[in-house]
Amino acid sequence: MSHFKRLLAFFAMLALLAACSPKDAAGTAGATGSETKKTVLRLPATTTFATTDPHYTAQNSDYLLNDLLYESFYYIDNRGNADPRLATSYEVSEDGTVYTYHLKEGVKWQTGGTLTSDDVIYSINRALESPYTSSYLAGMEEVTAPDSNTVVFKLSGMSPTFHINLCRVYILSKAATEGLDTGFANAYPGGTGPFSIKEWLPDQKVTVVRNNDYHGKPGSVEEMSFPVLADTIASLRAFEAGEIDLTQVLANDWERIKSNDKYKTSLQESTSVVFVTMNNQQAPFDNALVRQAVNYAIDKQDMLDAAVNGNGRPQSTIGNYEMVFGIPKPGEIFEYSFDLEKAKSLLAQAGYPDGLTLDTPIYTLASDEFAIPAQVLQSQLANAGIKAEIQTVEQSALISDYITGNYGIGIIALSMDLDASIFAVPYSTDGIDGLNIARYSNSIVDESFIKAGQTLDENERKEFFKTAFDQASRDAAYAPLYSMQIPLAMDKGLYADIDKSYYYWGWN
Amino acid sequence: MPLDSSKNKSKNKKIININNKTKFLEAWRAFKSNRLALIGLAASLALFALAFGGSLAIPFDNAIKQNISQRFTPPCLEHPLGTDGLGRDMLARMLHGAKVSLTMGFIPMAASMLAGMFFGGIAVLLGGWVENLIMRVCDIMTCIPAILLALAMVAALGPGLGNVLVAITIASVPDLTRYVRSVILGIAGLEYIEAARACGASGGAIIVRHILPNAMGPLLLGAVSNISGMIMAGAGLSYLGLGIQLPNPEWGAMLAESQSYFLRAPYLMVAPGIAILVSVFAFNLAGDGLRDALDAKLR
Repeated sequence: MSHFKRLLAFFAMLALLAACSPKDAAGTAGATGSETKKTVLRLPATTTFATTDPHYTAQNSDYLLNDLLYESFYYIDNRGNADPRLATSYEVSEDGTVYTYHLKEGVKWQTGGTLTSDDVIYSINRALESPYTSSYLAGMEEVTAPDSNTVVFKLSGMSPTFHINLCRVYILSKAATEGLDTGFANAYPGGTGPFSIKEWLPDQKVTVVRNNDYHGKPGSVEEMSFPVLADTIASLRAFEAGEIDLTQVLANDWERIKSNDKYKTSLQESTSVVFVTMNNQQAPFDNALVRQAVNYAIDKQDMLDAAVNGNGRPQSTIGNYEMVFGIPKPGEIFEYSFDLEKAKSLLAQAGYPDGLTLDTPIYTLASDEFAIPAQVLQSQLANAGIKAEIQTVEQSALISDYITGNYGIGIIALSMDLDASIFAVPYSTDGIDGLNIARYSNSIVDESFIKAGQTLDENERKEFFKTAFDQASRDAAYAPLYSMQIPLAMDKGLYADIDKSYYYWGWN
Repeated sequence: MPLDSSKNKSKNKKIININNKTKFLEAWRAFKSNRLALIGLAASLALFALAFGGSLAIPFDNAIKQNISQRFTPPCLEHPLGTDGLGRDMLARMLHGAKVSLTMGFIPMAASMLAGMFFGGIAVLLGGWVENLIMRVCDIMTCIPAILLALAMVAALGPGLGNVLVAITIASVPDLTRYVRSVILGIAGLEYIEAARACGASGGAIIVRHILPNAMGPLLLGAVSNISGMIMAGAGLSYLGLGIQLPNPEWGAMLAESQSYFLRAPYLMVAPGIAILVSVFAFNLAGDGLRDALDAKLR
C-alpha cells in the first residue's frame, strides 16, 4: 500500500511539474496547432544592453533597439536605401548649404503628445552635445523651425553626406526627455518607433512590444525578445535547441547547418573589410615597391578559404564595394592579382634580390578572425622571400600602436558604411595619427576626396572617388584582403530582410 | 695514543656511501614493485622519446607548412593525425609541440626548485627578520592563485615562450620556498644535525653537508609532483593566447585552435587533449611512486 501511495505521489508530482513548465517557447498565438502564425520574434543580442538613450549609444545591442524605439527623418538601410519616417520630403538649396525637411503630421509619441519641430530642434541640440553623435552634424551652422512641421538646417559649406548622417540622429520627445529625473539608465522616455519597451533586463534580455499607435505600417510581430548571447557558439546551441529564431553561425559550422533542411540560411554582407596595413613611413615599407610586392604575394582566395571558409569577397580597397556608395567595383581601378614572380621581381628592384627578413613582426589580435589570416600572410610572404614573425597583442595596445605608427606590418579590419567620403580618413594625409594607420600621403588622393565633397552630383563624386582609390591602390597604401559575409541561420518560417532593421522582419 | 683521523674519515665515508647505495636500491625496489609508478615512468620516458626523437625525425617545417587545399583532412596514411584548419600536419605539430609543452613543465620546475632551495635555505639559515621577510612575502604571493599570478605577469611582460617560463617559475617559487623550508626544518630537528652542531659545524656547512643531501628525496619528490601542474599552467596560458606565438605549435595552443572546429573536425581536439592528459597523468603517477618509494613510512 505504501508503495502504491509513493507511486501516486510521484505521478502527482510529475503532473504538477508539467503544469508548471513554461508555455510554448516558440511564442505562437494560442500555442496550439502548427498552422498558427507566430507572433513573437526571438533574436540574439551579441552584447549586454547599456542604455536606451539613442544619442549615447556605443554597444551593438543598443543600436539594434534604436531602430525599433526611435525614428529619424528617413530610415536608411545597410545598402543606402531610404524609407521616409518622420519626414515626408526634403529639399536642398542649389548651393547645397540649406536642407529643409517637412515633418509628417499626426506622429504620436509613445508617452503622449504629437511630434513637432520643437522636438526636432531639441533633439538636434542634444545630439550636438554628445560625443557619440556630434560628428553626424558636422558642418551644420544653424537649425531653425519656421513652423511646427518644418525644420531648416543651414550648413557652413556643401556636404554631400549631410543628409545620410543627419538620418542617424534619432528624434526624442522634448517633454518626455526633459522630464527624466533619473536619466536613461533607469527610464525610457518613449519614441515614435514601431515598438516600445516591455521588459528591460540589460544583462539578460530585453523585450519590446508593438506600438499600436504607430503612424506607419505596424510591425508584423507583436513582440520581439532579445536574450543576451554574447558567444556565437552559445547562440548557435540556443538556436538549435529552438530557443531563438536566428543566429550567426561560425564558419566551421556553416556546411553542417546549411545541409539541415530545418533551417534557412543566408550570408549577410558586411561592411567589415580585413586588410594588411603597412607603415608607409617606416623601412622597408616606405618603399612603394616593397608594398606592391606584398600585394602581389597575397593569394586572397586562399586567405578567404582559410579564414572565413570562403564566406567573403576579395576587395581592392578597405571598403566593401557592395555596401558603400562610391567604392569602385572590381575592374574599375588598378588591382593586384596573386603573382609570386612579380612579387619577387619587385623585391629585387627594391634592393632585396635575396628576399628580406622583417625587423618588426606581423602585428595583430589573437582572435581567430585575425590570427588565421596572419598565419596565412606569414606563409605567403615567406613564399615571396619576406620572412616575418607574428605577434598578437590585446586590442587597445594594437590600436594605440597602429595610430602612433609604432609597427611595421599588421592585419586588422575596418568597418565604414554608406558613403566613400568617410574613407578620406584612412587614406588622406589629415588622417595620419588617426585612422590613416598606413600613414599614407598622396596629394592626388587628398585633392580627390576634397573635390568629392564639393559636389552633389553622384556620378561626379564617383569619378573623384575612383581617382583617389586608383592612386592609393597603385601606391599600395594598404593590401586589402576581403570583406566578410556573416553566415546566418534562421527558422524556415521567418521573413528576414537582412539589410534592414528588425521592424521589417516577420513570420511568413 | 692519538687517533688516526684520516683513516677514520675514509671509513666513515665508505659507510655513508654504502648507506646511500642501500637507500637508493631500496627505493628503486619499492618503486619497481609499484606497477602504476612504473607505467607513469614508462609513459614519461616515452613522451620524452617522442618529443625529442620524433621532432628530429620530422623537420619543423612540416609543422608550420600550410596547404590550404588540404585543410581538415581526417586522419589518413599521409597524415596519421589529420590536418588542421590551415592544412598543417597534426602529427608534426604534436611532436614539435611536445617539446615546448615538456619544456614548459621542466624548466620552470628546475628554476623554481632552485629558487625555492635558495630562499628556503636562507630563511632557515639566517632566521630572524630575514626568515620573517621571506616567509611573509611568500604568504602574500600565495594569496593570489598561481595561475592568476602567472597570467598577470605574462600580460605585463607580453606573450611568448620565454615570458611564460619566467611567469610560471615566479608563480611557483613561493609554494616551493615554503615546502623547502618545512623540509629543512623537519630535518634540522633530528639528532644527527644536533650532533653536527655539537661538534662545532657552522650553519652553512650543516645545510650543505647534512641537511640538503638528506632533503634531496623530499625535494625531488616536490619537484616531480609540480611538473604536471606546470605543464597544465603552460597549456592554460597558451590556450588563452598568451603562450607561444603563432604559428609555432604547443599542445595548449593547439587545443585552443581546435575549439572553433570541434564539430567539423573533432580529431583536432583529441590529439592535444589526450597528450596533455597522458603527460599530466604520467608525471603524477611517477611522482606518487617516487614519494612512496622514498618515504620509508609509506613502504
